[in-house]
Amino acid sequence: MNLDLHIITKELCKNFTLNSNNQNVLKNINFQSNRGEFVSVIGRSGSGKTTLLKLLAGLLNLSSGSILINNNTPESARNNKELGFISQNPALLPWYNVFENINVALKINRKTNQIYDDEKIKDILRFIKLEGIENYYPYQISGGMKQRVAIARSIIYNPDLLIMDEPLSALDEITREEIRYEILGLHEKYNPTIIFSTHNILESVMLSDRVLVLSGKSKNFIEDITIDLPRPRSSSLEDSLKVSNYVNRLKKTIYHDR
Amino acid sequence: MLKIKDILVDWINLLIYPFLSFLLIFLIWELSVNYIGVQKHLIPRPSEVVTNIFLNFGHFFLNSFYTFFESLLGFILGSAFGILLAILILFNKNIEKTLLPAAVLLKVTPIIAYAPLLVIWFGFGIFPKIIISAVVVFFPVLINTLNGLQLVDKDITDFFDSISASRSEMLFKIRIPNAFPYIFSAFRITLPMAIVGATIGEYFSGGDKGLGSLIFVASYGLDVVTLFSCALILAIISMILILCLNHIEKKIIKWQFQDHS
Ligand SMILES: Nc1ncnc2c1ncn2[C@@H]1O[C@H](COP(=O)(O)OP(=O)(O)O)[C@@H](O)[C@H]1O
Ligand SMILES: [Mg+2]
Repeated sequence: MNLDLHIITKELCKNFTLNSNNQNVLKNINFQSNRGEFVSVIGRSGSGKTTLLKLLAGLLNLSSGSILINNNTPESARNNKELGFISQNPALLPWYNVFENINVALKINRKTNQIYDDEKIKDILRFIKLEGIENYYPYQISGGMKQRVAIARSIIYNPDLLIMDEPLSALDEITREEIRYEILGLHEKYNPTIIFSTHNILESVMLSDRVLVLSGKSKNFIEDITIDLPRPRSSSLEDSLKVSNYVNRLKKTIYHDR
Repeated sequence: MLKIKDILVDWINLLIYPFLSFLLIFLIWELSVNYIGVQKHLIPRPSEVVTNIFLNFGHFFLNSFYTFFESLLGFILGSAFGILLAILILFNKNIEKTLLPAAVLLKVTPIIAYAPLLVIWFGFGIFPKIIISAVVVFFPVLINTLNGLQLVDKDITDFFDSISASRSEMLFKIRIPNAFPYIFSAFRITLPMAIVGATIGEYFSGGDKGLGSLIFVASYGLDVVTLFSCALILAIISMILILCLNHIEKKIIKWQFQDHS
């Protein structure tokens, strides 16, 4: 048993049954991820990214195969608050202010063995630029701020796995880039394993150690490339030849996946 | 003190225009009874109605108080049962299958049909009126609360599931607050219905207490002035309760009234 393996899926399959029609979305997915690795999943819309990420988070039941997270089921990872799930929609509670929205993650499913460190909470708020807006309500802040709150809420309780389903897709270009590098910074600072889905190819290259291309046609990964770029990374890298080579290669793969 | 002043200013702002339009209607009404020759035993002049209320103020006040009190208690009782049953149904679908048909039956039967029965069973006094009022309030509150408890954004429940929130944590942290706007929109419908329920209960008690009883007696005596007085007072009671409700709603569900903050 390799201690560095954080996630292992074996022959993972997922079917949806709609009006007695059985639709196969994921087929025999074998995938592994190391602890601390940043893995992006890209693919056309409808290729099954959300389905895969929700399966990993234990929010959907798999049809066959298996998923191990820390040598245990996704359900047990959820129960032990070992994972954070962030979706495209920030999904904040409108009746709570920013502070309460984040703090609720600490109050729910309280674990006696979990230590909450005030300094870390402050650190995260500072890092993700939420300082000073703790008393605002969701309807009083911008979409980018809301998504920052959603991210803070899912890292505040110290999960070692973050599952982010197109967390930046609903944002405008400028905000999107800002938060992209905040996520990169968070990863470099706390080093959680991150499974990140996006349809933005440049984003996947800039952030990841590995990029996987999910195909709606074969219902499996059709590409798994290691991004060999030094860390810490900054936005200046975006214009480098190496990055554009990766981007072009991934573009071609996705383009031919019809 | 400042707060009370704010509330008063709010209300004055809210009431000034309706007040002016009522004044205009009353003026036209008064003048048409006087000069066009509408028969006075069918439609009294508004000044007569208002004078009647002031001349018999103690009498009207006492009876209004009964109606107001019964409506309010009926409203609270019916709402409490509606909300409680909705929460029970959320936790156990079998309760829905068992109790909902009975609740629907109660809903589709016009109150006119069972109001006299309740008066016969429970006798005079305020109890049957409270029950009638509660019964009409119960169903809309139940249905709306149930909707509000269930219609939670999927992404929000996904987040709570991702940290394995328990059912009671989900209930108190998201389902109940999510239901508030739904519950209040039910209240806006059921509050006037509660007054109707209490008044009908009083009507069937004959010459007992409450505005409904005054209506009963006056209708036999063809006393249109009293009938109009009761109508006016009932409208005012409804208005006051609705205004209070709006005020409480704005305090509780701030996030629904973004423009005001
Ligand atoms: N709850 C569901 N019931 C039925 N079909 C679903 C459900 N969720 C997703 N699907 C189907 O699964 C496929 C993949 O969807 P999804 O995982 O959302 O893709 P992506 O996130 O890559 O856009 C789509 O064809 C979609 O229609
Ligand atoms: Mg998706």
